[in-house]
Amino acid sequence: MKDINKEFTTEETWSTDTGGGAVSKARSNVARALDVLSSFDNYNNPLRTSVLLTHLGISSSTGFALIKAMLDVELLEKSSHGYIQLGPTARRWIFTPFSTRYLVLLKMRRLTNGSQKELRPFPLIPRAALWNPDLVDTVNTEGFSSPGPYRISFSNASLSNYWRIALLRSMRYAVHSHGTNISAFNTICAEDNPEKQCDDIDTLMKRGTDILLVSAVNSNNPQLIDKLQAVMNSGVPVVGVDRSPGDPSAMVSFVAASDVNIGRISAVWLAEHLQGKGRIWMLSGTKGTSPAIQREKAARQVFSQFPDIHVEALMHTNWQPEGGSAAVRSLLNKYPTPADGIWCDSGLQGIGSIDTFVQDSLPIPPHTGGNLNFMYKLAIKQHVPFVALDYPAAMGAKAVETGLDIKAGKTVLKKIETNVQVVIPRGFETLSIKADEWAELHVRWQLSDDYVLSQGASLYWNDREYSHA
Amino acid sequence: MSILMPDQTRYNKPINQLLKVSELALSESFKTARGFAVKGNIPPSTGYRIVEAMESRKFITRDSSGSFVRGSEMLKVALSAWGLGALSLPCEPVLHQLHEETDSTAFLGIRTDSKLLVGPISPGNGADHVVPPLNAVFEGLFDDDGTGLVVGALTEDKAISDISETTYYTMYSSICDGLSQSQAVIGVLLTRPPSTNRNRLVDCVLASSSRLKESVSEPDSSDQV
Repeated sequence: MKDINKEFTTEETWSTDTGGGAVSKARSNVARALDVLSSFDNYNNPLRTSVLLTHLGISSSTGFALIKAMLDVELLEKSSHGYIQLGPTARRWIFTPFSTRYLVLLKMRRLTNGSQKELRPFPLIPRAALWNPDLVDTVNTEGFSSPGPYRISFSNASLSNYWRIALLRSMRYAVHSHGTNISAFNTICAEDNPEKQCDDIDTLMKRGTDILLVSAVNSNNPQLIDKLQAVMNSGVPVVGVDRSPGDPSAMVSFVAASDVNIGRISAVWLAEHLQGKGRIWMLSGTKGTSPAIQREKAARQVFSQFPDIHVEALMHTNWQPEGGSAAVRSLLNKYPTPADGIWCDSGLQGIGSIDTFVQDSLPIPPHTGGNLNFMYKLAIKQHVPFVALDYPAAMGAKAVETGLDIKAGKTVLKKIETNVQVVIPRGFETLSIKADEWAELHVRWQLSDDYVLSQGASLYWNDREYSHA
Repeated sequence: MSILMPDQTRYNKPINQLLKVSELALSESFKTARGFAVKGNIPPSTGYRIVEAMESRKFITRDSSGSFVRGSEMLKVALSAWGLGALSLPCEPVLHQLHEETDSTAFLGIRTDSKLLVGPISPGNGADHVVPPLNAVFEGLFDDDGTGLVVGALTEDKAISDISETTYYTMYSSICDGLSQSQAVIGVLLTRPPSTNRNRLVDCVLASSSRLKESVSEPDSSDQV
């Protein structure tokens, strides 16, 4: 594993002046056609062709020829004289799986020959904690709307582990791919220091910011919440990502994944794998951070439903391999026999835990925790029963896109939960927890150990395309 | 049947290429624009520009594995074409929760008479769940009250060779009416009639239907900034 701080500095600036990002080009006919399709309202009310073309800044000669081509393939249809609306081909676009996991599952099915010999039992414990009866809250952001390009700032809590590097890489990719709409991207890392984070936000605002992204060092810090509310009051939208400041009113939108589900699903799997009986060591992340708190709480709630499951110890590891290793080392010294299961809220410390058992030539108990390519490689090579839940670092790109949506005045979700994949080696599914993908298909043997697999497009993207001063 | 028109003009050609990319985003898992260009027989530089235009407008997007998939704007356009564009934003979290609650493939569909066009899906867990073929259309008998169990079969021979079942059971509930006598429904896909889990499935489907319905029908719930 290489030194993660080598390529990433605590402060970086990207701007169109420094040469990064996609190059601005004249709008292509495909781009014009897409803009036409996006112009219709929710009810497909017909639009007058000439008005539409004027509104989109498309000349009549190009516009009418383009619309004729779209009518030919039924993307549009004529409503009445001079009016058009979305047509049958646009209606057929409705089949939209939210991820290519659909194709992965087809592949998994092929490997099992599509057999359904046994009636699939209903899960004993559903994956979701409780039915969420709340409405899906949306936010009308017209008040923040202004023309681009925009200056985006990111107040980052930390760069201390591989996942956080992947989060930043994911943001960089989004900045690169939306480069024509972004004039600057400034980031400052607070190095896990809550006071520094407040100062960082002042610095970023002084430099000029149209959208502020923030990943909070800790939850419910009154200073930070006041600071973010002041930023919002000054007309700059705040988008939270990964770690919540705690108060929803301090943000327009919050992008994360369900930490409750991560804690819950991993605990259900471990308890069921152990057939409801055994001693468990819990290795949590960084004390006081919202993901660590919520995952641990959800896992403990599950373990408490199994009377013969005994949580023997809880250690914090700062989401570091060294932290996982040190925690397991100290527990092995403290207790006469290793635990029956190791619950890790992430593979970042999980690799340290597994490695310690390997070093001591001890049988490796079942583990939980995903994220890192090395975790998958190690667990598969060592035949460790495990469940992995990849906390998606791709949420970095989602946060950038949400910021751009807000500045465009689009309605956005108040809370955006990116999907968490459940990855299990073949043969280790339990009654309630089934795999979204098998570990053997998920691991990337050709990529280096330190890659976080859930970072989206930036996984295969060359950072050299992104220049920074 | 192909809907593509001959490339008669400089305007037909880009529209045909756009349609090719939109279909490939469904059936392939490309990680680069080059994949679309090669498979779609599009010149590489043109393919790159089309993918860039579609990605920046969210007609295609990347999932967490980095693969291209149809994006939120494409879904919004499709639902708007049915007069149901308001469902596009809240449907994703509701479908995910329905799938997590039931382990089954949750879907939003459009029902017209006895036909059901499957729309956005959140695929179920594990290898033995129901996978509808791409662009699946089912035919069955629907209850007039808009809730119930439907035994449906594919209307066209769209079966993928390695998927044996062609009969599906759909536990569904109506959400609202769209254009052209269509109706939006939410439900789960099953390969067998539900047995002991029937009541639980009904509760989950009805709850997600009312959650989605209310999220859409109360515009005042949207916070004005």
